[in-house]
Amino acid sequence: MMVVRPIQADDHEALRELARKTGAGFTSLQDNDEQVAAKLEAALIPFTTGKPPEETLYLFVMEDTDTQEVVGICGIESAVGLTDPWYNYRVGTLVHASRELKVYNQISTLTITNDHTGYSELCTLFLTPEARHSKQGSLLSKSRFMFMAEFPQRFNEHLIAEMRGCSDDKGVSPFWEGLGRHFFSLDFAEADKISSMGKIFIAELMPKNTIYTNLLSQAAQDSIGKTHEATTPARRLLENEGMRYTGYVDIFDGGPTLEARVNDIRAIQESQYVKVHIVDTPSEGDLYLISTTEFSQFRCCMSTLSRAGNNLINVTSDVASALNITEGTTVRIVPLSSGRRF
Amino acid sequence: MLLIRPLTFADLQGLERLAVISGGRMTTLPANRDHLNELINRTRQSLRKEVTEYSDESYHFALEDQTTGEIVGVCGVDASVGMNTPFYSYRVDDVVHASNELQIHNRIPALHLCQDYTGSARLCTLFLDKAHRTTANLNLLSRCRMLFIAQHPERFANKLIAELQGVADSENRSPFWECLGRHFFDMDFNKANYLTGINSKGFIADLMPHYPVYVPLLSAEAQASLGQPRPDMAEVKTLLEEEGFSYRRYVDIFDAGPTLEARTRDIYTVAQNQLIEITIGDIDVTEQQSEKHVDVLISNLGRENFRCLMTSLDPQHPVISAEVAEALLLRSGDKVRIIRL
Repeated sequence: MMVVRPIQADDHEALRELARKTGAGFTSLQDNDEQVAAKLEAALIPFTTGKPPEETLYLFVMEDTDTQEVVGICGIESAVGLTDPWYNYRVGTLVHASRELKVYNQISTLTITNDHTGYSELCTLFLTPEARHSKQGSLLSKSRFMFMAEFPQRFNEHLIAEMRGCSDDKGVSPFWEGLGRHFFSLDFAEADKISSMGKIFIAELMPKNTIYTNLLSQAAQDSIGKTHEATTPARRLLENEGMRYTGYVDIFDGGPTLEARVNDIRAIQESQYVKVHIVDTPSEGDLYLISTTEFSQFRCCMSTLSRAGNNLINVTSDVASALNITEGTTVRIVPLSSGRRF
Repeated sequence: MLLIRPLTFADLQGLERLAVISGGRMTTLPANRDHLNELINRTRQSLRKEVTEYSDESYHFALEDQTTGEIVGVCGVDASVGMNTPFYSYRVDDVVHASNELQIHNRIPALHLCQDYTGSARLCTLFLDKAHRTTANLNLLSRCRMLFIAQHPERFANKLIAELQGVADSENRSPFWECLGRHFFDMDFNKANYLTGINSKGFIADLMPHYPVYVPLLSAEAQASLGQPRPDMAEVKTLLEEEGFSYRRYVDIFDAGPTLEARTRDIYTVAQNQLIEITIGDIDVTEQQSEKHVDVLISNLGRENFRCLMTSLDPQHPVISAEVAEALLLRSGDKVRIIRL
C-alpha cells in the first residue's frame, strides 16, 4: 500500500535517487548532491519544531509500505517570496487605438511582478515512472490538500502551483530562447540550475520593463502559459480541484501558474472527519483519500471504503496499519476525484 | 544659376512635382496638395510675423533654376518643434544587467519613447531633384538655412536638430518598421509616414509602444538599421557633421534613422560667416581665376525677400556681377553674409 508521509532523516538515499531521475526544467529537485542534502536538512525542521516558521517547505514522500521503497515526493511551501523575491510575468493587454485612423490593436504584454508574495505554493511533485499507475499520482498530489485542510494556520489563504513550461527533447525552452537568453547569456538548463539555488540573481538580470509579446519569436509567443506535455495530466488534476491559470507565467519557461484560494479547493472544502471501524474485507466502490490528524506523524493513503454508520467508516487493517491508527481513531476523508458524493 | 528664395503660393505645382518624385520618403513632404499649400502658407505667415519669441514658425525655401524658372529643390527649417503637437523620438539607452555572483555584466540597449527634442529647432524637408544633385548644390540647399538663421537668430531655438532618413529597401520598406512599428500601427510604413506628415504626428501617442523596447528582441535587420542613415543620405550626414552636428543616440520612431543635433550658434556656418559690404561691377576673367577668388554662399539680409546663391568672389574686395546682384535683390553698398564653400 502507498502512503504519503513527512520526509525523515533516513530518506537521504531515496531523495538522492529521485533527484537523479528528474530532468532539466525541474527547478526544485536538481541532480546535485549538495542541493539534495541541504533540501533534506531544511525539510526536517518544520516537522521537528513546534512553532510554524513563516516561510518553510513541508516535504512529503510516498512510500510503498510493502517494500519500504520511496517512489515519489511532493511539497508545499508555506509562503513564497518573503526572503528572496518571487517573480512572475503577468500576461496583460494594452489597447492601442486611434479612432481617427480606425486602428484598433490589442497588444499582449508581459510585466514582471511579485504579486504572489506570501502565497503558499505546491511544489516538487515527482513520481518515479514505474509508479505512475493506479491513480498514485493523484494520491501523491492531493495528499497535500489533506495536510493543508488539517493545518490551515500554517498556510496562506492563497495557493499557487507552477506548471512546467514547454521545452523540446533537448531541454530547450522556446520562451527562454526568445526572451531570457538575451539578458542572461546562459542556456536554459544552466540558468534554471542557478535559479534553484537562489532566485535573487534574477532580480539583477531580468528585464524590468513591460515586454511587448509581439516582439518575441512566434514559438516564444505560442509557449506563453502553455504546459509541458509531460505536466499536462498534473495540470488537469489541479484544475479539477479548482485551481486556475489567471495569467501569471514563469519568467524562465513561460509555464503557467495555477492559482486558487485554499478554501475553494474541492478536496479541502469537501473533506470531513469520520471515525474508523477496522474490518477484514475490503469495500467496493470509489476511492477515497484518508489522512490522519497527526502533524509530524501525518499519513495519507488511498482506499475504497464503506459507511458503517453516522460518521463511521469501515477500513481494512492494511489501511489502519499504513496510517498507523487504531479502532475509533478520527481521520479526514474525501473522495479522490470530484463528482463523487456520499 | 540656382537661387534660394522663400516659397510662394506660385510654387504649389512645382512643390507637388517634388513631393511625387521624392516617393513619399520624406515625412514632411507628403504628396498632398492641402498639406503642401499649408507648408507655403506657414512659410508666408512666419516670414511676415514680427517675432520676439520664437514658437511654431516654419520656413521653407525653394531652389529655383533661374534659366527655366523651375523648382528643383526644397528645404526647410522649423523654429521649434513639439509646441502644438508632441514630437517623438526614440532615445537609445543602455540598461545594465549585472550580477557580481555570476560575473555577468550585460548592457542591454533599449528604445525609450521620448519627447526630449521638444522645443528644438529643426532642419527639415531637404530634397534635391536628381538632375541637380551635386555636392555644391547640396551645400547651397542645406547651408542657406544656416545663413538665414545667422541673420535671424532670435527666430530659432538654440538647439538645432536634423533627422536623417533611415535604411529602407528598394520598395521603401523599412526593416525597423516591419519589426516594430507595424505591430503597433497595423499599416505599412509609407502610409504611417504620410499620415504623420499631414497629421503632425498627433496620432502617434495613441499607437506607439510606451514601454521601453529592448533592442535584442528586435530582428537582426532592425537592429542593424538602428541609427543608420539611408546610404544616399551619407553625403548629407557628412555635410552636417562638418557643420558640427553629432549623433546622440536619438532615432526616428518609424525608420530608426539618426537624429543629429548641434547648438545653433555653434554651427560652423552660423558662427563663421562674414558680414561684408559688396560693390557691383564687372568682374574680369583673369581676376576671377586668381587665387583670391573663392567659391562662396552669399545671402542678402532679407527675411521675406531672403535670397541665397553660390558664386565666387574675393572676400577682401567683394565685387559681384549685376546679374548676381539682381538675383539677390542687392544694390551697391548693401551688406551680405558670405561663407566659403
